[in-house]
Amino acid sequence: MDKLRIVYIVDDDPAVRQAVSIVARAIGVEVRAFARAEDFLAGCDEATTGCLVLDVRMPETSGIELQRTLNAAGVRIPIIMMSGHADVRMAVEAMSQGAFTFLEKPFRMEELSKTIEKALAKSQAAIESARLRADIRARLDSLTHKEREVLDLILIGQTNREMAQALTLSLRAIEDRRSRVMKRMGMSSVVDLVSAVKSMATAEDKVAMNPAE
Amino acid sequence: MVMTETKTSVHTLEVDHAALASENRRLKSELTQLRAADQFVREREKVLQIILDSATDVIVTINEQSEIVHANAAAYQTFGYSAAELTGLPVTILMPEIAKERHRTDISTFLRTGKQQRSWQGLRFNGLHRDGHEFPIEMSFGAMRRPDGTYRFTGIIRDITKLVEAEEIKRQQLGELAHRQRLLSVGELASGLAHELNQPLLAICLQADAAAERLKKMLGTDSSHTGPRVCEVDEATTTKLQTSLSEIANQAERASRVIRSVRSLVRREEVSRTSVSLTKIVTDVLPICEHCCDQGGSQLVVNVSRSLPDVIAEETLIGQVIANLVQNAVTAMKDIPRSNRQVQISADEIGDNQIQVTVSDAGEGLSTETIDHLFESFYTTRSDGLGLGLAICRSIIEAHGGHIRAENVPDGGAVFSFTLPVSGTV
Repeated sequence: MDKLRIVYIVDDDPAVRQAVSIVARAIGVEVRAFARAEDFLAGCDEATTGCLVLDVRMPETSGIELQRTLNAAGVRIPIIMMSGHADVRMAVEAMSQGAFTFLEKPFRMEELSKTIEKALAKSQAAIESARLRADIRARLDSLTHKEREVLDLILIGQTNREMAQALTLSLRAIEDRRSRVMKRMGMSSVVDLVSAVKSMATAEDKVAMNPAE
Repeated sequence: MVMTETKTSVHTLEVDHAALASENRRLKSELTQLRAADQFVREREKVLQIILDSATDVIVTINEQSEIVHANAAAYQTFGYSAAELTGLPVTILMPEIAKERHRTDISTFLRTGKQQRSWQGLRFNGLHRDGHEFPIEMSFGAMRRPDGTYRFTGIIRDITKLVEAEEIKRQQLGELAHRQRLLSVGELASGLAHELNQPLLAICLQADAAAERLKKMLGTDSSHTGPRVCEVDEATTTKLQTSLSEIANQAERASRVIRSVRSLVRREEVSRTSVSLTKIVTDVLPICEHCCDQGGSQLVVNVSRSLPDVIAEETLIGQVIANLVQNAVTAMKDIPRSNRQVQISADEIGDNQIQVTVSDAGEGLSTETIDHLFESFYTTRSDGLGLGLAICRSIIEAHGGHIRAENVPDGGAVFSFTLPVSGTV
């Protein structure tokens, strides 16, 4: 859990890096600070979690450019963009590119620490739901072809009798398969099952009724 | 008669006949020449008359007493007096008081010393119309010595009211440009400062807040008697320290607000962007560009197609950018031969719904180091520059959603180009 409480700071100004670091440590967050976007990029990948406090305006690679690179690389870390009054336009651009939020310089410790906490909570929630999705996916993938057939019919709301007719099986056989599906999916009610599979499917941007492979 | 003593002697009588005949021929030919000369003079006079009558400039001849001996028809149009009316009048009637005195001094000095005190070409002063109004004139004159040793002076006078008005308009435009330039400079300066100062101000705010937070924790630890006692802290002192620290942060915030207000003071709050053709923007700023090029002895070539789609822009600002780039181009060519100095403005539609405007010069180009820093605030290669011009250009273009860049061209010179999104695509 603590491993997720990391704040990455990218700012070319050492005084700003130090000040942001002090605030982050004061709220019990691990800090990794970088002077250049490239230095941060070198050590990050899709699995990088926590949050990123980023200066919008830097001499070499700007905050906006770094954000673009991260987006393209599929790094989904929440970004707190720091901008000056003069860079409001860039801040807007950052938001439209999916930044978590932006803080206008200068800001106070309370604002920064609350924002970091929120960003970490978001990161946490994202990890949590990713894990849930992965779990459901794994369970789905563990179903046999026949079980998957039944699941698909449950999802479109068919009754056992309708399923028996559709699959030309006895009612008893359907009930058997149905209980095996519920067990493998780790669900106690049909409502839970349907909502879990559907939310996972939405997240994966796929159609829920995909036939089994 | 041209006959000489020797030619009258008796024994040469026959020869005299021949000489007489020859003399006769000579006289005849001389007469013909004289007639031709007379004809020539008449024709010259006619030509002169035509010139005098058809000239739109006023041509006045005066004597040493400054009385008008001749004036042409244009005098009526310009001064309200007919040529006949003017004849015999003092020429000073056509001048306001201040010019009369100068005229008298000029003439009397010349008559006394035979020298011109100042150039008699392109003199500019005010003329006085019959109806009493003064107007700007440009005058040139010359002196002619007559066979009797007296002088006549002929002056050519041109009403330059329109010219002066045009010059005034141009001066105003240049003044406005300079004013805008100053305003933009201050804005850019404030922006640069805002960025540079907000960094340390942010550090101050956060450090002060963090120190206050630590103090609070120390006090909390102290009162609960669980943690180690680092030093003696009583609540009153801690409160005072916390107040000081929070005041430090507050004052840093205040400093930032001051910078911000300076910025918004010089920034136009309302940006009025309209859909406008680039042809219009270039046409409007052309007089200023031409003036710049004239000053730098450079040729200006404009190559803007009329069929370009409109852009969304605040046209005076884009005009400002173009004028600035032209000004830079002219400056960049001050060390090359005049005949090679050429500034070219062109605009083309490039892909991606963008219009690209380029301003190129034929100077020595830019160094790699210069290209890297060209658009940064306070960067300059000129001893008289603030280093804000191109920073302003960049701010303006980027605020319009475009990009500006500079590069060298292989056959010498630099090209500055910026893009603007086509209207309806932003």
